[in-house]
Amino acid sequence: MSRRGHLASAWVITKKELRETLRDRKTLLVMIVLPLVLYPLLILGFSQLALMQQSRLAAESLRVGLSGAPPPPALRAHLEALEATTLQPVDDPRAAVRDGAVSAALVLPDDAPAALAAEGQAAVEVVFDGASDRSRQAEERLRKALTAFADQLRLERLAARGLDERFVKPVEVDAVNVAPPERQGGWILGQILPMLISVLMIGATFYPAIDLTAGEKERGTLQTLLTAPLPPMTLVTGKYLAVVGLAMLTGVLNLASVAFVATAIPVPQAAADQLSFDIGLGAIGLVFACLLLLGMMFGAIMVAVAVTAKDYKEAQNYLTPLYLVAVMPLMASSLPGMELTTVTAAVPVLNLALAMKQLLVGPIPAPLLAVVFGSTLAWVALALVFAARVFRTEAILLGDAGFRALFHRRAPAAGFDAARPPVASVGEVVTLLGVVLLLLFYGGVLLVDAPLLVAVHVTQWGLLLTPVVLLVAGLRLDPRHALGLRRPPAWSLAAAALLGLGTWFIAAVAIEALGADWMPVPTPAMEALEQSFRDLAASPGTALLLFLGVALAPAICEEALFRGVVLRGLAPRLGARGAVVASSVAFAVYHLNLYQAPTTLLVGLILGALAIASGSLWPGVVLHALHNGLALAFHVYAGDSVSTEALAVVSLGPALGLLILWRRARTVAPPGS
Amino acid sequence: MTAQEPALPLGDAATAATSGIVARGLTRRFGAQVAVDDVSLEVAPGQVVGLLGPNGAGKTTTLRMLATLLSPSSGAASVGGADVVRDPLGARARLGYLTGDTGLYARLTPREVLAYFGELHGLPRARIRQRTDALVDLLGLGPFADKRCGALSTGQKQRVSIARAVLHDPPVLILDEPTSGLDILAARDILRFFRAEADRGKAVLLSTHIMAEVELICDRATIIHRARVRHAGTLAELAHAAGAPTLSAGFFDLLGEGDAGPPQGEPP
Repeated sequence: MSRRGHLASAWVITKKELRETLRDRKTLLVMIVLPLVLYPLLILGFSQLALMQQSRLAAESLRVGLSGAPPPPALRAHLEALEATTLQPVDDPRAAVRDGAVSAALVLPDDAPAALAAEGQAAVEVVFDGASDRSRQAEERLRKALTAFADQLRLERLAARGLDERFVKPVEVDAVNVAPPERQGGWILGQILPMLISVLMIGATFYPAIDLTAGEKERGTLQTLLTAPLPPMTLVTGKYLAVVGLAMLTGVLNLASVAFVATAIPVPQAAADQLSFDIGLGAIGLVFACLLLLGMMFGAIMVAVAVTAKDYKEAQNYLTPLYLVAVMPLMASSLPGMELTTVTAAVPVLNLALAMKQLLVGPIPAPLLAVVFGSTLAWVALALVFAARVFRTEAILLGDAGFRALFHRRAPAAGFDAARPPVASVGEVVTLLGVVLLLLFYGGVLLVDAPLLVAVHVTQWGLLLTPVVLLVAGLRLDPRHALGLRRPPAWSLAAAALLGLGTWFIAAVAIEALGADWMPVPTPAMEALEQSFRDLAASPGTALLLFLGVALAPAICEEALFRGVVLRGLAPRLGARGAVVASSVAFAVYHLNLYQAPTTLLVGLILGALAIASGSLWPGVVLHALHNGLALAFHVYAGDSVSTEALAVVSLGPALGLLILWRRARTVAPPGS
Repeated sequence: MTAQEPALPLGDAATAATSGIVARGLTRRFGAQVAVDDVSLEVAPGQVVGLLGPNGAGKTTTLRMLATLLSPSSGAASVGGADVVRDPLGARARLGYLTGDTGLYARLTPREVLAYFGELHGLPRARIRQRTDALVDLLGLGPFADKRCGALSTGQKQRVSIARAVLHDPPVLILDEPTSGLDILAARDILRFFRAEADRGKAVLLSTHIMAEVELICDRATIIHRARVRHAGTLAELAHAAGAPTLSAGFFDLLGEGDAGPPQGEPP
């Protein structure tokens, strides 16, 4: 079946799942009727109830106790002016309030009238019960009367001395908000929407994910589905699309309902002048993209986890803690001062919530947004590959094995033809690339302040080579096949050496040429880097470490990853050419450097062709080491002292090397055929 | 679909031309436990072969390996000429698999279930409609073809499952206790349907622990007990080997109960 056929089959599954789910009355109720009916009822009903309660309390007649010295006539007048309030003398104000004889009590010390008359200050007590709505209301009324009395008294005292009110209020503050109403409105939305949308999307993916995976197992239909002639990834994709579709439906309906309700809530005129919820179409589009990505993210995680459960109940048990874990980054997103940075842009879920928050206020730099979307897609891919792996793990599907079965590789194929090449599978390659990409994100963040030498070595050996070694060891692959750790033919080493002598120069010229009118090279950053290279190269000890880190380490680590596991894992499935192209694209992408990408891609293609034609990893290591080493040496030692014309001669090496490679590649059958 | 995919030749030259079911030394271990031990069998097109044995003998595990739901620990098998390990998708395309506890989608109607599996098998629309109509007639699904599956009786559901299993007209049928839960009359109808399918040239493997079913429709039987094949042959040969007039009468002897020795039957 063709690839197109797989997608079409996935779509068949998606359509059927959607149809089946939407036929379920309970689901329809929860997904559609509930948000459309319940939210408005709940929110409007509640706010009206609260208003009603408030006005009822305000109108309720309350008894207020008076204790101690009798209040001066002016204060008495203010107290008596309070609506629906009865004054009554009490002996023990605390007991009276506690027993509910009065709702609150005002206590004037005996010296209070004298102090007030002598233009002094009176310390009065308001006794109330903080746990009673009625008492709080009475306290509020007492304060109102006291404040009015104090204001009046202040004005009288000032007038008696011929002073203006400005005398006791020397500074008048008028806050000027420069945020235009749209930004102000966006800020308010940003406080509410991301959290709301995210919690919504978690809930929206929760039940479909369980129903379509563990639910299907429980209903006994999964075994039948598995006898359809479709690969696991097709099944997972079909179901996943249905989950995301249902989640989006729920999410959008809920959001629309909430938005509708929000417009029905009256906004005070003063606030309305400063607020505008007219968000630009572009921002709405991007927020919607975040919503979709959140749905994809939660959907993928939920599907991946739910698929390991053997029934509905078990799936709920697995997913509930996940729900709580997923909510935590959301809480973090609403912390004040939490913003999208290179660090937070790579944290799953949090990055999307923060991106939404900021998109509502203003645009976000494209690279940051790219990191947010890119890292989310990487997580989604990882989760789906994991889910497909579960679908392939028969024991889990048939319900008689534990979670551990996932981490066992199938017994070596026992077909009539048992000679399956022991290389990584496509799923394993994708998983490895996903893991490495995430490691590079997080590692890059952690290493940003580390010394250059440390960063280079840790990145290469730790973030690139270690996962490769763990994969090969963990799956008990034979490194000769999985990485191509074989003795290379002599011609391939010669070709590698010839190519390595000149590719760096061609790449440098190409970057300069492209940079001139296509992509400007960020010169200050590059110059700073080159300067630190020169500094390190100045002393022999650090120079050695520098060359090990920049020339040798990538030659080994990057080759083992891209020309080893990735290239050889993909070759049986994509064919030699497809695998060379795919591994080169990965190689270029993983340099996380846009302006280098074209040349990295080209060098990747040459390295891939060399690895396939020679059947060995080593020629690539030689070429890669020479390429990086010579480029570095040229930059730190020669600088501009050598003319480009003179160097053009070294291009002859690659020409000759390519010729050898070309002649040999034609005679060598690609692996996996 | 079946016609578009070239049959992959088997590595073994002797069986290269064989379609139907071929299993050679199938073994499956779950940890230390051996669920199926060196089982070989063969079902030629046009034949119904019974896989007979008590509960827990390894029948279901054997069938699951043939249906590519489980991978063999060792040994090999092909279905309709497609190797179950090397070309599982090809094997599934040539296979109709039915169990007694097959679930149906409760909120879809039988016609929708059939259309769904037809599409998953990549059949063209017109072919799906034609096959569905034919099977609705043949299996008497008419009265409930447009009701939701959730509302059907056990017998009705099983007939829908049969239609689902044979919709893509596969050359091989693998049936795992297809009559469990059905009354005698319904069971007989279903068995006769499969006999007729075999007479149309299909290879049918029927797993059961009910002797009468074997005697009703099988040409040959393979008796499996405690993970191993004990006997295999035509029904007459098996009865003869047991020294009894019928297979039912000699079944317990053939199981070799109490006999821990090697299997006495020659695999076909």
